[in-house]
Formats: sequence, C-alpha cells, structure tokens
Amino acid sequence: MSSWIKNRFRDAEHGRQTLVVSSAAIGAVGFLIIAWALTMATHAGLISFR
Amino acid sequence: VGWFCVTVLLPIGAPIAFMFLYRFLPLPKRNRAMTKLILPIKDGQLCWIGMALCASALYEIDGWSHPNGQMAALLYGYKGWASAGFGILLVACSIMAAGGAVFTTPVRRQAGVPWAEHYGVLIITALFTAVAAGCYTVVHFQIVSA
Repeated sequence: MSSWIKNRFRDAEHGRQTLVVSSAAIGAVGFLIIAWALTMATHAGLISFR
Repeated sequence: VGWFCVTVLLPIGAPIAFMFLYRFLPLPKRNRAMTKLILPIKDGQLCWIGMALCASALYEIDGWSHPNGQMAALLYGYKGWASAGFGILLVACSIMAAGGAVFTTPVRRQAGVPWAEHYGVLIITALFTAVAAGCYTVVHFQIVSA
C-alpha cells in the first residue's frame, strides 16, 4: 500500500494525475447523489422547475 | 440574476479581472511575467470557491437561511441525500484545493504535451466549481420560489 502510494506520488506530474483521477471519482459520486436527490424530489412533487 | 452575479460570478471572475489590471501597472520585468491570466487559477484555486458554494448550499438545504426552514420541508426525504452529495463534492474540492498547492502546475508547457493534459488540475477544478455553482443555484432558487 505504502509503495503503491509512493509510486503514485513519485513526482509532481504523477501526483497531479493521481489527484485529478481520485478527486474526479469522488466528485462524480457527489454530483450523482445531488442529481438523484433533486430528481427524486422533483418526481415526488416536492420541488418544481417550472 | 443579482444573486448569481454576487455569489457565483464575482468570486470566480474578480481574481482573473484583477490579474488583467496588473498588466497595466508599471511592474518590474520579472513580476510582469507573472501576470498571466491563468496564474491565479492554474493550481486548483477555483476549488476554494467551489468549497464555499458547497458549504453555502449545505446551509440552505438545512433551512437555516429560511425563516420557516422551508427548504427542509421541500426536500423532505431527500434532504439527507442532497446534503451528503454536497458534502462529498466539498471533500473532492478540498482534495484539489490542497493537492493543487502541493503539486503545482508549471506555467510553461513541455513540447508535445497536450494543453488539456498539462492543465488537468485547472480543468477538473473548473468542472467541480461549475457543478457546485449549478447545483447550489438550483437549491437556492427552489428556496426563493418556495
């Protein structure tokens, strides 16, 4: 695990790539949850976009 | 429109606008080279704004900004999910805001490296901030229209 992390962050370029990929995955999960919650609230008639 | 300009456009645009103004100052040559418009945002600084937008959205979702806590009722059953989503997005923004400062992007791009690959941090942080701004705008105007 430690060597894998060391390898991922071995230089600035790889560090940036690792950050971009990992945060993109986390951010995508967050966005999907928000989108799902707002969509479901819309279908339930709790909120409206009219 | 006023709310959107003050809350979203102003914090994003102001640093870039002021960097543009620095170009007209009689700066030393070394400092003048640092007035590129991309400099204030290339290392993930946009995510600081994204974090603030997520935090504001969390505040509004919980109905604290509304006198009757109406948003809480509006999103009843989905309030927790929306809060969790904004919380996760906030974490992702924090990772980029901190990590961008650690692994700074060089101003000069190496030959053969595509722009999108070199400025990957800028692109992903701009995307996060746009998503946070868009979702927060939806949440905010649901409260206004409630």
